[in-house]
Amino acid sequence: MYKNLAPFSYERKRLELFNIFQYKHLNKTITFPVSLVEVNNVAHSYPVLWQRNKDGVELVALVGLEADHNYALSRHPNFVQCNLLILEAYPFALAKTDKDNHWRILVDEVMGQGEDDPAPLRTAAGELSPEADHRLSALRIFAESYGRTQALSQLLDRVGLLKPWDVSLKIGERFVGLQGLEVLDRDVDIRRLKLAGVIEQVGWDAIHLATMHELSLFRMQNLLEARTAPRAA
Amino acid sequence: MRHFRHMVCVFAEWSLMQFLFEPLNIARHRNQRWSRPVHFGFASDIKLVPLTFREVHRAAHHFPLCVCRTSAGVSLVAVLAGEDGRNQHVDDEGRWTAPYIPFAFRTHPFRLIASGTGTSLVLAVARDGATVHADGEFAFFERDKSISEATRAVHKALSEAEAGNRELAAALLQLEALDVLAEVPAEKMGPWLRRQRCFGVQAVKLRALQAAPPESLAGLFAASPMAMELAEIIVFSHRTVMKMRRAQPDRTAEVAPGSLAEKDEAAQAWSFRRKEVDFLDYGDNLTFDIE
Repeated sequence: MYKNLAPFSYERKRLELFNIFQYKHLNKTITFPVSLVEVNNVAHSYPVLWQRNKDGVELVALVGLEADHNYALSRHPNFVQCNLLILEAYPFALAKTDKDNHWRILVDEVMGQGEDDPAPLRTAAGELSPEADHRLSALRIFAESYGRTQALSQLLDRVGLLKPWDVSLKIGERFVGLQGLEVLDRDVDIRRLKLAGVIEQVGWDAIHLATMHELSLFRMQNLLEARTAPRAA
Repeated sequence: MRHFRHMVCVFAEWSLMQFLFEPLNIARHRNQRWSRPVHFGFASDIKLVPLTFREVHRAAHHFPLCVCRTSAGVSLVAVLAGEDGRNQHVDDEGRWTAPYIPFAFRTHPFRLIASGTGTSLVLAVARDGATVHADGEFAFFERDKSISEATRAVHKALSEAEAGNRELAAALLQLEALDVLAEVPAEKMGPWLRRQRCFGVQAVKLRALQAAPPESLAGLFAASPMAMELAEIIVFSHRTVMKMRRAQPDRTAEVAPGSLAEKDEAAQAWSFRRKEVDFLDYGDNLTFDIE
């Protein structure tokens, strides 16, 4: 989702903050990281599952089935209002870039497209603008439970609860495949048995995440219907 | 007459009293046919509908769920009625308007009812002219007097649901034992609730459970996993968000250039004005926040 990340400094005076819909490249992305604090909301709209990457697994929301069909940015009527924190925060982002593993705020240096004027980073008085405040607040809220989310995700992976979820869907005459996604073990007895061990280490978060994940999978139908049915006026 | 009284009693709990359910019987139903419901006007006054074990997750996306206590025991129900006591999901033409139709309505005009002796459940058919008539989609019986394939399929689905419901009922009793439920006040749903006893998950009680030591939670979960999942599912169905009302400063303060730590350390470093609730509460939740 990021194209040109650079460190963000509070010394910075200028930055153009475009409307999220003007960052056209985001439409290419169909999975976005989510944090425990927002899982309850996100599960109402999108499947919440895991994506394997070089650092292990990451909890993500699946917001479309194909590039250029990102329903988190489409205002499609199939999806109840749900703004992913990571998109609310864009172009601000987080990364651990130093040896002490401290999170650092980055900014994706990308120009938006379209006619709307961007919001400034600072007001005339030199304070953060309301728009910048909104986006950095979203990043803070995301960050506060992201570490906990990641630790829980890696734990679920270590105990063998995550299983590949390769999906092949027929859209019109084409087959669309989703790879690299993982879900909790579909065997309910095994899932509950292993989950008890995870709960013993992290407490209720494990029950919350596992249940929201299961509920969210019923949103796959929503994605498929949005992709195959003509858009409502 | 005693036989019919018993049958009515079973279904009185769920307000389907406008129909008399009679056991499927070759003499009674041989020359009749049945159709799947297309019009749901019969459900327009139904306020609560019991859910089956298999549909709990799906239903939670579309209806607020509650635990309902009746003379027949505890059930998980979907709340259909709005403040006016009318089913919000049936329009004036009798069309079902929600994306999901509860199993109890999809299987109309059939139900399982207690047999005359009360020792078993038998397939029964509603006296409903809209779905049971000579021109219906499916026969009740084949010409050789055997039960038709379509009727058998519904009977099988109802029997499987009944078996799953025993597991659901056990989980609901365990949920009660976890002490997270509280009666929903009538003002939360409408005056019609005064005639029902509906229980939701109370936020403050759930937080107490959530705060239990992890090893205790693991023990509880091992003993009653479905009950703990149900607590989450019920809260989800009410779209209750966890509000974290941490003290926020009045104005934005600058932090060390571009760095932050997590959680507790971050609480010092981060001080932007917007609160979690600004992002997580969309204003259509907390229907049953009975804290």
